[in-house]
Amino acid sequence: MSAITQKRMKTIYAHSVLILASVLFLVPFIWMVSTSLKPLTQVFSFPPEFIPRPIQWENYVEATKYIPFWKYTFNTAVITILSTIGVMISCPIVAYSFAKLKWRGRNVLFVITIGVMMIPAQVTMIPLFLLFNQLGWVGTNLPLIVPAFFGVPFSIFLLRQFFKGLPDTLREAAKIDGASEWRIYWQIMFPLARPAVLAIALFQFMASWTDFLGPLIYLTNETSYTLSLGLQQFQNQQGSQWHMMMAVSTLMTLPIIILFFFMQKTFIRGITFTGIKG
Amino acid sequence: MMNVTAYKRSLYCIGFSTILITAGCQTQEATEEIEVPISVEGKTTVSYWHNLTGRGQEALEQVVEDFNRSQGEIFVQAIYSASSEGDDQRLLTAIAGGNPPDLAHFDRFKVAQYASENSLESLTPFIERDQFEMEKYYDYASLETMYDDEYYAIPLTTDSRLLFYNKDRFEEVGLDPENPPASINELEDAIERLTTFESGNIKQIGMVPWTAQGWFYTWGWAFGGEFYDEETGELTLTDPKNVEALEWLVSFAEKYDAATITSFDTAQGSNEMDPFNLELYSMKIDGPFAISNIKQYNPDLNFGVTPIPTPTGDQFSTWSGGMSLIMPKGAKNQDEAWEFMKYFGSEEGQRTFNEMDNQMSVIDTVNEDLYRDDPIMSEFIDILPQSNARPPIANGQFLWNQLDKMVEYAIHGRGESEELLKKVHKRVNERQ
Amino acid sequence: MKTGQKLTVNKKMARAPKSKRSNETLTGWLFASPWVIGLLLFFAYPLISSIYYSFTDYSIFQAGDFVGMSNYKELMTDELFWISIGNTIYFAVLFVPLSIIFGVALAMVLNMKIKGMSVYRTIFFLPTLVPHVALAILWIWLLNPEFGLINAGLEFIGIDGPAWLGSTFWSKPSLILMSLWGMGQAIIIYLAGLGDISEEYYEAADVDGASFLQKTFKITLPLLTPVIFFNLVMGFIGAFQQFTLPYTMTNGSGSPADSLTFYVMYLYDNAFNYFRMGYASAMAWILFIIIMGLTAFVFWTSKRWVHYQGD
Repeated sequence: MSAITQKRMKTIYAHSVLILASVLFLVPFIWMVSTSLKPLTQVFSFPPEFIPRPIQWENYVEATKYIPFWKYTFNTAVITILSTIGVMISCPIVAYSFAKLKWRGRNVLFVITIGVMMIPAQVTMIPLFLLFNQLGWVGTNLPLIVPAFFGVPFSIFLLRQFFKGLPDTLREAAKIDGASEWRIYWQIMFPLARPAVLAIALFQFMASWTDFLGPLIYLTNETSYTLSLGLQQFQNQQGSQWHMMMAVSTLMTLPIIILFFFMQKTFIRGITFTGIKG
Repeated sequence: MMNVTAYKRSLYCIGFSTILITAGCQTQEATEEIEVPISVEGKTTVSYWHNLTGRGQEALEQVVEDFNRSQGEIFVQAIYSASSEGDDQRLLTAIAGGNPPDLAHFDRFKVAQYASENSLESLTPFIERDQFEMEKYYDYASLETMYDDEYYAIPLTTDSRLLFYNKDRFEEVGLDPENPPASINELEDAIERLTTFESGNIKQIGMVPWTAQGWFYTWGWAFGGEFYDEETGELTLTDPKNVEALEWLVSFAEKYDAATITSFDTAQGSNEMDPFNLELYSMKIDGPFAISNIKQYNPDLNFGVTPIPTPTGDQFSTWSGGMSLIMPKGAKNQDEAWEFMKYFGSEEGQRTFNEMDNQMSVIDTVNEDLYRDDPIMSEFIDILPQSNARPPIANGQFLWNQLDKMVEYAIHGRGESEELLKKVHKRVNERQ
Repeated sequence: MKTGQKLTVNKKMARAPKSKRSNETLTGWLFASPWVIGLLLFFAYPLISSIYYSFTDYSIFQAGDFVGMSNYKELMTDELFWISIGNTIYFAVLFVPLSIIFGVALAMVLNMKIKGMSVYRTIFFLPTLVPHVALAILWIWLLNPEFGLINAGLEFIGIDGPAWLGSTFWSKPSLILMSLWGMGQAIIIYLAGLGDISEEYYEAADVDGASFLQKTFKITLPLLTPVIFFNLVMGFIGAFQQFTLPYTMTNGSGSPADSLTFYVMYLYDNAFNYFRMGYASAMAWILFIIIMGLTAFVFWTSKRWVHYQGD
């Protein structure tokens, strides 16, 4: 077999595996989108139907009127964007310190960093609330934003793994050239970690964007509610507005999908270390 | 270079969306009317948290508006608190943090538990001062607002449980749709006839007794059992009638293979895919709240309701829950809040709310007025005088969960009925 | 901005002209300082409180008395505590390795250079965006033993499907199946990791005429170990704290017969439904010890199998 046909075979093979798996992974999303376009009476027909009849685009219009959608989107966006910027500033630098710098106390601090993730949030929720209450932050969105600027353990750990994976030779070469630690970090290491930094940004974006418990506890004023609190308003003991709830859910996924679509291009292999050094 | 460009693009993307969203919202803000917390000049603002949506929210806002219009000193502000039913972490943290609202819409079932934690203001001083009549409510409803001989809530709504049955299916299998089962024997017979198989697999099931509102309380009371002695304040879970009820559920599970038939109605918010609505089950135990679901998802379903069958075929009973109004510990404007409680608890407030939200009131005369002409709702009202409330004890939620788990264990063949009941009894008493 | 920052760093370094080692200690702490402050501000008080609570009968509303070890002692004889540990370990032990195997495999396929790859990648990421309530309802439909799609499919190929979520035996495997659908996040991490592997390695291997398998086992997997290690540790932490999906699926009851009652679900019940926050805090710290032990073990073994390009 020639190299070209072999390559083509490989491509065909990959496509078929991917298409098959894609179908499986698409089911929940398609169900969500199709529900968002159904008349309410069709949502729970049995056996389940995937194709809405008729397609009700007006669900989207109704849903965005049923709750103050744009106001909630704005509130959610403020929290999400600021906290995402927060982790993008704080986490890489802390992670770099853990991964590449040798300092006394580093290992202990790192163990603590991982350790704090092992305590379920359920038991720290009340004391944390009392703390923010003391600070006078309850009723504002500060508890949902400010902590991100001081680092998130999950992201710190992830970035540490990436920084540790970068060759030390780069750093040593730069040191010999007399570069400061900050310069090494900012001009050499940070650019190399971009895919990972974007990954943690995406995770933070998703987490803030869909967070329910945080806004529920800390936002006490209806004008500052977020979309996830808005979703709750479609639920009702006497019959939830499933079609509208799924319409808003679908709209909520759009920024994340767009962000992901562009971000993932950074994953394309081909960083050449030698090229960046200068 | 590729990845650097893409990286920049993503950053722009974030930036752009920020600008777009910000711009979009600012124009939106100008046009959209969003309720802003209003503190009306010269009036005391009473904050009132609730988690009602849709029609319920409209009804509640109507009551609040009527009240606000009726007098000049107090302004009640209704705030939707976005909590899901059952989980009210916002109220919990707010009370724990000493920063609660003046009033909250609250599941009556939890009153005793919260009261036992000293997290509600007692209403007894207000009730005595104004000689407010708690007697106008159904007995079980006012009982549920009490803990340690003090009142902690004003009841607002109620419900009850009945047997729903599919009249068309009854006719198909030769049962009289106007003469539904009254005794357990008749029920068993109906279930057997309504269960159909197709090439060895179940096609339709007559009924799965423990689904929908078929909790252990439902069957215990139907079998004539008691759970609580009001006089002594003791639990009476091991009442022989309760054991009988559990044994009946087990015999049913053995006959129809529990694992196969238990699967439909566990998830949160899954009321809508109720197998009774889908006509996969022909009967179920449920409350009046199930009616709007049927109307929405299967308006053609020809169904009737009847009291839950009992071993003797008479002496029917049921149990009821419902919502209430509480004043959390540390509420700031208590006198003003109490004025609103009185109004919501009055015939007028009850009528406005329950008529709009289509719920049953805790006052008999209001229900008579609203629902006497409705054949289905009449059945729900008629059973109320025989209704029960779950034991108003500090461990009410623990007992509820324990009984729920106990039924699961029993139907999956993990223990003898009497032993399981004894175990629950012991566990709950240990925590008293 | 760049120079300004650089200057401050340099000044600080100049002020402490000790050995090179202590210079680096200072820089290290300086770089880590946001997180140190964050830890002290937002983590220290809640965490220390919860340790203290675990020795009291604190109830959320009432401060409670110091009760010594009695919460811990009571847990040792609490039947449901042991059931929930059993369920949680069962889940973690099966789910974590499976998610790593499938995750790495899928990420490698998704890292190939073929047309439409960005669309495929997006698709695999989509299930993580669907709200849990919707996921739960969808799965209950699909897995319904009598009327669901999955058993209908199995019947078509002549298999008599199990009762899935209705059966105490099959409920946990069902949950593992569902959880695997949400691998999107882990796949992103693997993809980012694969992106970090220099092309040069593969070019060199191609020159040597290495086969696909050789490249996978000699280059890709070893160089991916830092992120596999990350997903392993985070996978265990996540699996032991499994909560939202089973809680939503079973409406908090862990049915059938407690077969889906996971550790944090029971902890949650104690904290917020039974108001036994002290007891729940004790559970939290026992969980901490379990996960910490496991993580320490993983870290200890990591020296043998995790390869950092930096080392």
